[in-house]
Amino acid sequence: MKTVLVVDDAAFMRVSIKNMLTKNGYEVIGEAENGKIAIQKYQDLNPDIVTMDITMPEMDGLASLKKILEVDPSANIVMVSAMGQEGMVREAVQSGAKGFIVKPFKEDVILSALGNLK
Amino acid sequence: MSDDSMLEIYLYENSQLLDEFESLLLTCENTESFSAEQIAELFRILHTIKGSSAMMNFDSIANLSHALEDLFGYMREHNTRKDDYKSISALAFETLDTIKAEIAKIQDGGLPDADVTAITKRIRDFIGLLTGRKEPTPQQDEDPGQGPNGGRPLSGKGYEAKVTFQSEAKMENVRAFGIVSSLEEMCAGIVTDPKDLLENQSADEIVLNGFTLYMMSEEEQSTLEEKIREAFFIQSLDIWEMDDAEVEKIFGPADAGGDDEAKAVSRSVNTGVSIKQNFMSVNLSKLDLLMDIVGEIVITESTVTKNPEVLKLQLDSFEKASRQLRKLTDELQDIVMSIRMVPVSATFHKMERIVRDISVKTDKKAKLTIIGEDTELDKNVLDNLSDPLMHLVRNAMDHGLEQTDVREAAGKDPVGEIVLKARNSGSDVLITISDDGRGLDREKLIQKGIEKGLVDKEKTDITDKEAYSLIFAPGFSTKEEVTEFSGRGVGMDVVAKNIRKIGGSVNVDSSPGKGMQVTIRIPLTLAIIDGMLVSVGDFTYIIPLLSIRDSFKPGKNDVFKDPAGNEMIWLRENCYPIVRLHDVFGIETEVTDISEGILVLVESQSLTYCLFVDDLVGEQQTVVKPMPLYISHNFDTIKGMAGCTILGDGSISLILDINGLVK
Repeated sequence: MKTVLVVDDAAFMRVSIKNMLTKNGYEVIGEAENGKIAIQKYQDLNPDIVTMDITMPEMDGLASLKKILEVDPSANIVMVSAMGQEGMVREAVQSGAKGFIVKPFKEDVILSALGNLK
Repeated sequence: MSDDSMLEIYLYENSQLLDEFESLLLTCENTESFSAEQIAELFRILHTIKGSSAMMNFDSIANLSHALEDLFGYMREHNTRKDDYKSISALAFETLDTIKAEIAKIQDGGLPDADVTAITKRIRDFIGLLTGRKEPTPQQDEDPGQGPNGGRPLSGKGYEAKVTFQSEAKMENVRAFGIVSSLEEMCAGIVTDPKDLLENQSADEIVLNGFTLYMMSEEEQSTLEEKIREAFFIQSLDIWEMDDAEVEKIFGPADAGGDDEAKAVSRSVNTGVSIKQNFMSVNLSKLDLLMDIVGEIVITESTVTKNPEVLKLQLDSFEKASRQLRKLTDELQDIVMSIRMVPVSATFHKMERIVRDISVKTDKKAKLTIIGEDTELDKNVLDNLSDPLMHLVRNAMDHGLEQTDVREAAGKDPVGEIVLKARNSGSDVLITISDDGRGLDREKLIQKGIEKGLVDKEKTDITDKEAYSLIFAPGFSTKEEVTEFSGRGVGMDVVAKNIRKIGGSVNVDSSPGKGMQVTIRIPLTLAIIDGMLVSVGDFTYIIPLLSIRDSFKPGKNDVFKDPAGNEMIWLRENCYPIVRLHDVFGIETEVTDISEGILVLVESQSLTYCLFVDDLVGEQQTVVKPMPLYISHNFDTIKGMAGCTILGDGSISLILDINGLVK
């Protein structure tokens, strides 16, 4: 079972994503509400996949992505973006995010995205 | 997790975000500035609300927050003129209110279905206005376009790939861009069609037709294909090798080779330290239930440990175990209480909005100062306090503070001040709302009181306090005209009633020309109070310890009668009326002579008086139970009763309402 760390400042989004994933054979082993916590949790939990929100307090998803990739260049990080954040997403993808999904998304979208990861 | 609990989380989180947003916006408006951090924070909050709302298909809220997010997004990137701030905050407040109304609909079990096109259009028009008026500052577009630059430094074979995306992919051009980035390491050169993937036109084209990649690479075709397939939401991918002519057309004539950049990466060791989530949200109804159960445990504990049959046995071990049990139930109770305690800050900060709104509408300059916002109160108490506070602040704004010119004429600071202060005082919390306005007019109050039949004509012996307290009397209002905010005289008596409902009391003080102050005293919590058990005949009653000032055995000669025949007592140079509890409730008792019983000096909000009871039984922690439904339904209030409780021996005892016992 693939393990997932869900990073989002909105508890609602964390729960949503967690629901969608746990129903479909993923194990959400951790949640983080900002980029800083995400880095720490990534190191502690070593998840297979990270879903990473972009706009967050303390440290945004982009900075967190870069830090995590510094630590583990093979990290599977999927950005969770909203429309209108093309610039940030572009930078994320350039920096090594495995891909991104765009809010609002349905279950099949996130599953399709995560299913694409090796 | 069910949809219901998702909705619950949605509501909880977004209400909080909206509160945050509101208070931040108020700060910005008050300081007439939007700092970069504030804009970023406002933007972030809207962004989060937008995301969650879109997930829930609450389109109206998503659209509203999106539009406003764009406005703050614009402000983030461009300098806005100070004279625009007013329009910006007005728009933001209006949007905020609409979102709140939509959230309220959801809370009431409805759907957020408001038509928000008008307001979003206004926001967009406003952004358009800002954009049109100014030279847009250049976008930070630091990355160079991809494609061949200069000669052809390319080696390897040429490949062409055609990629289309699934319809739900969204941001297709960024996805295309992502594919190009991921291939860069493998390819000596990449050219795309459309050329600039990130242009708007390209975006539309990619959605419709996908995009084409031309790559020069030493890698195998399959390797490249695999790399491209790593991208999400690919609908179709065709890749083939180009012939030389095509390669030359795209990449130019052959030249020297390129170079690789080496990337050094290191992986650090896990620290092994785990961070635990320190907070979680709990449904309030569960906490209520927990509270109830702990209440029951407290009662049962005393039923067990004070069981007369067992006590007769005088068992040491039982005594010891009881003490331990008592200690643990006390701790349990404390913890449950502390879980339910929340700081008053959110409620206090809500008042900022009221001050702001009234200040704008009435053209009175005013500021709200908040002191002691960390003071904590039981969640239920606080929820019930919100409305009364709102009324009081409105009242202070409306009736208390004078118009700016009047203040200036009186030599006061033209900006009125309302101070909202909370502090702990023993097992109570004191909340004061004070203003530096005109204060109460004693004579006017009394005059009005006489007109309304609330005051006897012999007004000479009315204390200031009694006169001021008149504002809380039902139907009393000195203002002839009714204003939009302060309503029609129902305000203040409802305030007092609601505060009494949560076990609190209200006091008014005023100094003419300098302002007035309302003090609310509320117990930290409602559910468990310290009470004094008193006996009257065969009955026991509980007097809340908070209301008791003193208790004593009177001498026969201390008591006298006033001309109307009412019993009074002199005590420390004050004269207090005596209320015989057995008379009030019509109980037969042998103790009718004042000197045989006990007088308990109690303080109600309007009057300090002595309750005459047979005897004091002792202090007891009391779990307040509401009156059974068949009683509370049939009688609006029962005179002198605040609730009931179950005593240690299992019997029921009534808790006295000190305010309700006397008129």
